[in-house]
Amino acid sequence: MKNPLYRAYSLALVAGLALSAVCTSCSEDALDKVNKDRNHPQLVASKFTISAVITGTAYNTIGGSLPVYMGIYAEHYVGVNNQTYYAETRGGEPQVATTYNNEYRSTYVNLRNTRIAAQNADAEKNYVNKGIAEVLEVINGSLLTDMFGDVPYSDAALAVLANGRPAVMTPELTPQATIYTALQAKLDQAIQDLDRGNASAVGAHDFIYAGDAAKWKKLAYALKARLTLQTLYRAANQTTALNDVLDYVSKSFTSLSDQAVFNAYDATNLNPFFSIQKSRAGLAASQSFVNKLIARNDPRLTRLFVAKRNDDANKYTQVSGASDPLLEPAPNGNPASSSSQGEYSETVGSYAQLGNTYVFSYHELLFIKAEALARLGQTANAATALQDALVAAFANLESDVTAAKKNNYYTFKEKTAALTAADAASYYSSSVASLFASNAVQEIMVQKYLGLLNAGGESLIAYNDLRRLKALGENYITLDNAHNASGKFPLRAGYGEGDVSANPHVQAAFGDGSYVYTQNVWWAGGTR
Amino acid sequence: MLNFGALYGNEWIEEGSDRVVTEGTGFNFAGFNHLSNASKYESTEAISRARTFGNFVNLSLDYKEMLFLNATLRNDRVSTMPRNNRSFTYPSVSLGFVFTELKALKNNVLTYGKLRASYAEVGMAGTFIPSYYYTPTFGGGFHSGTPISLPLNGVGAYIPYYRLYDPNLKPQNTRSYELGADLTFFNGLFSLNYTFSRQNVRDQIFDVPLAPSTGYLELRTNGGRVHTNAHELTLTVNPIRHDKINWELGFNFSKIDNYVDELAEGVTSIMLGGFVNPQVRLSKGERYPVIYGTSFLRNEAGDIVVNAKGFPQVGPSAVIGRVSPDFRLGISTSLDIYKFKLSAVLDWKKGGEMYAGTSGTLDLYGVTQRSADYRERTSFLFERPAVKQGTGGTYLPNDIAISGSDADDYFAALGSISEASVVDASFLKLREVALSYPVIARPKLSVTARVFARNLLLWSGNDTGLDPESTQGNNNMAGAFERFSLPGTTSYGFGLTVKF
Repeated sequence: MKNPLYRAYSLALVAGLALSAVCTSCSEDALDKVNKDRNHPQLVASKFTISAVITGTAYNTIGGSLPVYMGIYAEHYVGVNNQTYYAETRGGEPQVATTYNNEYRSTYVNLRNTRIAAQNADAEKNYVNKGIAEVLEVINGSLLTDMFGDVPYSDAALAVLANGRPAVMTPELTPQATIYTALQAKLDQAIQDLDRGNASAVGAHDFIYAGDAAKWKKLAYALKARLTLQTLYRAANQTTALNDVLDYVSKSFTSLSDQAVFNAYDATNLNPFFSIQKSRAGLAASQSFVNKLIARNDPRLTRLFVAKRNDDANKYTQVSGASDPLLEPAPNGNPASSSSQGEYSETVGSYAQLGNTYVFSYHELLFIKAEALARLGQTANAATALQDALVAAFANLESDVTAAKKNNYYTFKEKTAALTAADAASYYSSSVASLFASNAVQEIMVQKYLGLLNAGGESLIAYNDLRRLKALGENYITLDNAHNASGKFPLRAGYGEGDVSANPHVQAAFGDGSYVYTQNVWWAGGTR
Repeated sequence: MLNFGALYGNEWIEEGSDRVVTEGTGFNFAGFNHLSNASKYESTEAISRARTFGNFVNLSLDYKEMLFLNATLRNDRVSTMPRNNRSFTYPSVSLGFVFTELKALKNNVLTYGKLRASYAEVGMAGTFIPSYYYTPTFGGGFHSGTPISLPLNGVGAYIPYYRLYDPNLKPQNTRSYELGADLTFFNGLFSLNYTFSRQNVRDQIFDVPLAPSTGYLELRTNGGRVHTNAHELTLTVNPIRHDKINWELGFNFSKIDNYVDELAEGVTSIMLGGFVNPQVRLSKGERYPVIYGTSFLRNEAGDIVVNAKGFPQVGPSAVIGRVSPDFRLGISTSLDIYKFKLSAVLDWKKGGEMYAGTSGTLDLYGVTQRSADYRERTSFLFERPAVKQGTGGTYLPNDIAISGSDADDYFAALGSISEASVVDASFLKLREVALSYPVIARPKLSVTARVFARNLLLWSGNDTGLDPESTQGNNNMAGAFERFSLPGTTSYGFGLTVKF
C-alpha cells in the first residue's frame, strides 16, 4: 500500500508543473512570441518602397481620376457618363469632397512613402535612392498643392511615428508659397544626393530609369523648370525667373529617350487611362478641342480620334479627316445625357492599353523652353524650340497609336499613316508659323495644350496652364463650356472627404465646397 | 431554504492556422479543371496564432426560490493585445426577487411577480499587431477589377500598411445596467415583461479613420464612447382558454437607441459601409447609424433652393437620413379551434429612413412609370417645397415650371443629390398567416399538415414600390441602404410535419 503522503506529494508536483507551464506560457515574453507577425516584414530596404511609390505615383496620382476630371475642365474631353457627366455639366462633382478623395488619399500615401524611402535610403547609404525618393516627393507634393492649393504639408505625411501614431493627428494647412519654396529646396537636395552614389544598386526597382542617376538629375531639373514657370505670376522678377527656367532646361532632357515615363504595362497591367475608359467609357472627344485642330488643319486629327464605340460597323476605327461622318465629338457642357457613353467619338487613349504614363514628357520640357524664350523676346530660338516640341509631341502621339494597335481588347483600325518628324515640320510651316508670328506665346501655349492630350495623364498640366495663363491675363486658350460663363469654371480641386471629415483645419477651409468656383490657388492669383 | 453554489474554473485556448490559397485564372481550355491549366497563378499565405488564458469564479445564492443572487468575476490574459495591456478583469452581479413568494403578497390577481436588477462588465480584447509593411494593391474608383498588380515584372514592392496599430491599445469595456419586471396576472390570463437596459461602452476599439494627410488611413485604437438605451416590453394575453378553443395574443414593443458620445480626436464620423456617396456612418452626437452624403442646397432658412431651370442643386455632404426607427411593435396571435390552429404575425416599424438607390437610378435611366409620366407632361414643378432666388439675396416660392422634355435633365439633377433618394422606411407588414391541423396524432406517429403565406400585405412609408426590409447586407448597413437589392417576395407554402 502506498503512502498517502506520497500521493499528495505527486499531486502537488503535477499541479506545480502544470502551474509553472501555465505561468511561463502566459508571460509577456511568451505571448509576444505568440503574437509575432509572421505574415509581414517590419522593415524593408528602400528600393522596395521606391518600386511601390513609383507605381503609386504613376497610377494613382498622375494617371488616376484627377486627369479625368481636369481633362474635362480643360476641355481635353467631354464627360458623358454619370460622374464625368456631372463634372461636365457642373453638377455636384466639382464641389463635393468625395470626388477627389481617392487621389487625395493616395497622393498623401505616396508622399509619406517617399519620405520613408528617403529615410531608409539614408540609413543604407544609398544616396541615389534617397535622391530618387526626393524627386518623387516633389512630384507628389507639387501635384497636391497645384490641385488643392494650401494643403497640410509641413507636418503632414511624416516618415516618423510618435508612439505608434502620426506625430500630428490633424495637420494644419501650409501656404502654397511655403510649399513651393520647400519643393525647390527638396529638388536641390535631390540633385546633390543623386551625385553621391549608392551602396547597392536600385536596379529594376526603378521602373522609370533603372537606376540611372544622371537621368534622375535631368528629371529634377525639368521639375525645377516646371515649378518655376508655374509660379511666374508670383515671381519677383519675371526675367530672372525665365532665365532660370532656361538654365534648368539646359541641364535637363536632350532627347525622347531621356523623358520620364512609367510604362510597365502588358496584357494584365493596363495603362490607367485606358483602364478607366475601358471600365466607364466616361470620356468622349471634345468639340472645342477638335475645332482647334480643324482650324489649324492639324494632321493629328486623324491620328487622335476614333469613331464612337456604339457604331457597330465602324467601332474602334480612326477618323479619316474633318469631314468624316465618323468624327462625332461631344458638345462641351451639354452632352446628350448622363449615360451617353459610346455615343460620341473618343480619343486614341481609350485604346492605348500599353500607352506611356508621363511623369515628365520631353515635349512638355520643349514647350516650357519655347515659352520661356518667347516671353524673353528670343523669338527665333523660341520658334526652333516650338518646332522641336512639335516633333516630340507627334512622336509621343504615335506611341499612343502604336500602343492602341497592340491592345488585347479591341480591334483598333488605323486609317492613315503614322506621322513623322517631317509631318511635324510641314505642319509647322503651313499652319503654325503664321500664328506664331502674330503672337508667339499664344501659339506656343495652344500647341502645348494640343500636345498634352494623351493617355499619359498630361491633362493635369493643361489644366494648370489654363489657370496660370488666366492669372497672367492671357486667355489664349478658348473654352466653350457655357457653364464657365456663369462662374462655374472649377478653379481647383476640393479637398478629399477623408480630411474634410477627420481634420478640422481642412473642414473649415472646405466649408460647403463652393469655394472651388471662387478661390484661385496662390500661383493663379488667389490667396489660398 | 438556502442554496449556495461556487465554481472556479480556468481555460487555456490555443488557436493557430496556416492558410495557403492558390488561385489560377485564364484557363487554357475548358474541361481540365487543374491549376496547371491556368495561365496565371496567385498564391497567398496567412499564418495566425493566438492564446487566451482565462480564470473565472461564479458564486450563486438563492433563498426559498424567492431571492436569487449571482456574482461572477473573470480575468483574461490574451496574446492579441500589446505587451502590458493583456490582462483584464471584469465582474458581474445580478439579483432577482420573486416577491409573490412572500406570504403576505400571495393573491389571485397577480399570481407571479419578479423584479430583476443586474450590473455587468464585459471586457473585450482587440487584435493588435506591430505596424508593418505590405504590398499595396490598385483598383477601385473608376477602375473595374485590378488594373495593375505588384510585383510588377518580377519586382517586389512594399510600403507601410495604411492602418496603424496603437501600441497602447487597451481592452474595451462594456458596462450594462438592467432593471426589469416579470408579472403574470390571473394565472396566465395576461402577462407583462418589461426591461430597461443601458449599456455604456468605454474605450471602444475602432479602426478610427485618420486624416489621410497624416499619410495613414486608419488607427486601431480605443476610439470612442457609445451608449445604448433599450426599452423592451412584452404583453401576452390569453383571453380564451378552453379545451376546444384557445386564443393568444402577443405584443412585443422595443425601442433601442444607440448614441455616439465621443470619437477620437478630430474625427466626426466613421464609415460603416456604402459607396463613395452616400455612406452609412456613425456620427458624433447622433443616434446611429446615419446616412451621409450629398444634400440639397439650402438657404440659411433651411429651404431647398432651385436653380434658374427649377432643378434642385447639390449642397454640402451632410447627414441626410437617420436610420434608427422610433420603435418597433410586433403583434402575434394564434387561435386554436378544436384541432385547427390559425396564427398570424404583424410587424410595425415606426420611423427611420433609408437610402433607396434603385428607384432613383431607374428614374435617372427613364425606365420607371414615374419618369414616363413626367416626360408626357407639358410641365411640372420640383416635388418638394422649395424656393428660388429673388433679387438682392431674397427668396421667393419656387414656381419655375420644368418642361416635360427636360425630364431627363431633371432626373439627372436628382441623381447627383443622394438626399433625393432618402425615404421613410416605416412599414406595417402582415408577415405571416398560417393554419395547421394534426392529421394523425398517435403516441408513436404524428402528422401535422400546415399551410402558410408569408409577406402578404405591406403598407410602406414611402412610394418607391420598395419593401423597406429589402436592403443590402446583413451587417452594419442592414436596413439603411438599398440599391438593386433582391426585392421582397410573397410566398405561399404547404408543409407536412411527421414525427415518430
